[in-house]
Amino acid sequence: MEFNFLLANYPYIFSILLFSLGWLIIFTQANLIKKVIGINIMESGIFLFFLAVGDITGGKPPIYVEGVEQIYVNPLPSALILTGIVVSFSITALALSIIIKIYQSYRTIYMPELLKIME
Amino acid sequence: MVIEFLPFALVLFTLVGAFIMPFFARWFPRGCIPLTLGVLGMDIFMAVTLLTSVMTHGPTAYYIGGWAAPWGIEVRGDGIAAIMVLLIAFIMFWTVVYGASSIGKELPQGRGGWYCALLLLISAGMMGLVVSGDLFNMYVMIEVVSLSSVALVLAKGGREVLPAALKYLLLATIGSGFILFGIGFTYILTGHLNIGFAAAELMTAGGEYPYLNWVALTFLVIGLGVKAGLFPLHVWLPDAHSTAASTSSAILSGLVVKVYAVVVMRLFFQLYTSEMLLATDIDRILLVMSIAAILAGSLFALVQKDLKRLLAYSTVAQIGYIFLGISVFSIMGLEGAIFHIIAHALMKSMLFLAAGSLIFRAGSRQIEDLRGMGKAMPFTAGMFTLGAFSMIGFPLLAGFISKYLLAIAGWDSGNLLILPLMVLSGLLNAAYYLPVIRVLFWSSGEETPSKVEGELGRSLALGALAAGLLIMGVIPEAGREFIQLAASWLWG
Repeated sequence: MEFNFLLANYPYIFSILLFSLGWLIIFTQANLIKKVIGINIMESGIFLFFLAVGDITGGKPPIYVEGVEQIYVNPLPSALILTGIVVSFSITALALSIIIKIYQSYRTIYMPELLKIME
Repeated sequence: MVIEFLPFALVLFTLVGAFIMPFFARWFPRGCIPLTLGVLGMDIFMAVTLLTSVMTHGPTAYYIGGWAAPWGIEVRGDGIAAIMVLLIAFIMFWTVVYGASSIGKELPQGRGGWYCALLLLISAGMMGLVVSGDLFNMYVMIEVVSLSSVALVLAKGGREVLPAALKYLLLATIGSGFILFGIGFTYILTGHLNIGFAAAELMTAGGEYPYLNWVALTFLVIGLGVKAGLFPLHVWLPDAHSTAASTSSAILSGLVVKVYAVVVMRLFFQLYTSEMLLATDIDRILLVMSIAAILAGSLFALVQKDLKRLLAYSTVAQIGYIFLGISVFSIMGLEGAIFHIIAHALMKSMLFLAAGSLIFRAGSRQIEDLRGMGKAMPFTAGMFTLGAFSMIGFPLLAGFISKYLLAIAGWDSGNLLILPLMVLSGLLNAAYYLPVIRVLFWSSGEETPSKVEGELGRSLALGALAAGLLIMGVIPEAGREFIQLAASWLWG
């Protein structure tokens, strides 16, 4: 039962895995660009989670057709994720522009070297 | 009718101000600061109207676009929202008055107008955050605030701010990831994003699925803890707050970390109920974290040689007080926390602004380089001393009243640890602020610098913040009535 339960909920498990992987990358990678990739992996985990929340097995896109009875997926989480994607995009843009500035003034994007220069 | 609309109007008005500011910056740079002051002054007026009306007629709610609660976005005008909106508008206004003379000197040439746009954007974000009654809207506002606060750190230019800002951005992103995940869990559990409806649903669903509820709570507390700089999650705070320009530091330290504490309060007492939270032992976890924050923040501040880093570590300690007030789980505790939010916003922004003037004059952030500055800038140094005394908790100043309220709240709830902790932390505060004051006034440099105060605007801003501090300290009853009411509404 346990295994089938996990199998049936695989999107949730993957989303938690992606999320954890994302912030692990942010904490452990020395390369600043990789940290930004970590941000994006983390955010993807969250997006997957929200999409899984909204999904209903056999659900159709929520466009109402007169006289047709069918199951629709929940559109609200998808709408939220649109906002989330925009936010994630702006965070990535801001982070990358800071990294460009860091490279221009310190000539490195590796955290240990950066810390050495700052001392 | 109009009053319900007012909290939303405040956010919208400030946001419109932020969006037209770049045009001013491009074609009419001289008009930027007067326009910012005008918008913020109007905000203060609207916030005072909101506060007086809310306190006499009770909390209000407005639904954006006329869509009723479960679907529409709710904007709340309750006690805490009204108090915070007024506090935000007040501190921002006087910071800009101060900045009118310093923005040109501290920032790269020609950035003033864009900086004003950022200031209005962050005030709109903070106001939106405290009035929001909808979980996802909260998340959006949290992102507005955190992205614009990263930009505020960056605004100073130069290479020193870059690593600090990147660190801030990365940790803030992890924090908002946790918050969004927590909101997602709450949505699964309740099917609502509106706080009131979600709370009603949580009454039954929270008991049915306790583990999911705890996971949601954990994610929200971790996320908001990172954003608010609660002790083990504070690592970004000293770097970001100490390298930014002094006006940015005043806002970041005085306001930005506080609005997240307000969100924690709103979630704890309006989304969850205190019985539900006490069953999870979150109160003890927060108590331990805030005691650790108070002690560790003070001890770190003790060893700092850089004045702005000292102030930033002091903020870490003071955030501990606010969370201590929340962790007591009583109306008294909340009252103390709200009072401390106001008192600390006033004194920390004053300290950062005064320190900014002193540092600019001395040309160095090291404390030992500030020798004799008390003689060169008596008023500014005097205001710094006043803020520091309030931080230590001298009677007749706001810092004393908030410590007193927190100690009483702790005593009433049977937690006998809090009273000695307040005394100990007061002594620790004295241990790191008094040497700075000694350096300012009693150790003269090689040659005594000539006595020149800064521009009038700076002194005016410091004076206004000091007046607020004294009023809160000498006649706390004036504001306490509002705060008591706000705390009891929040408690529900």
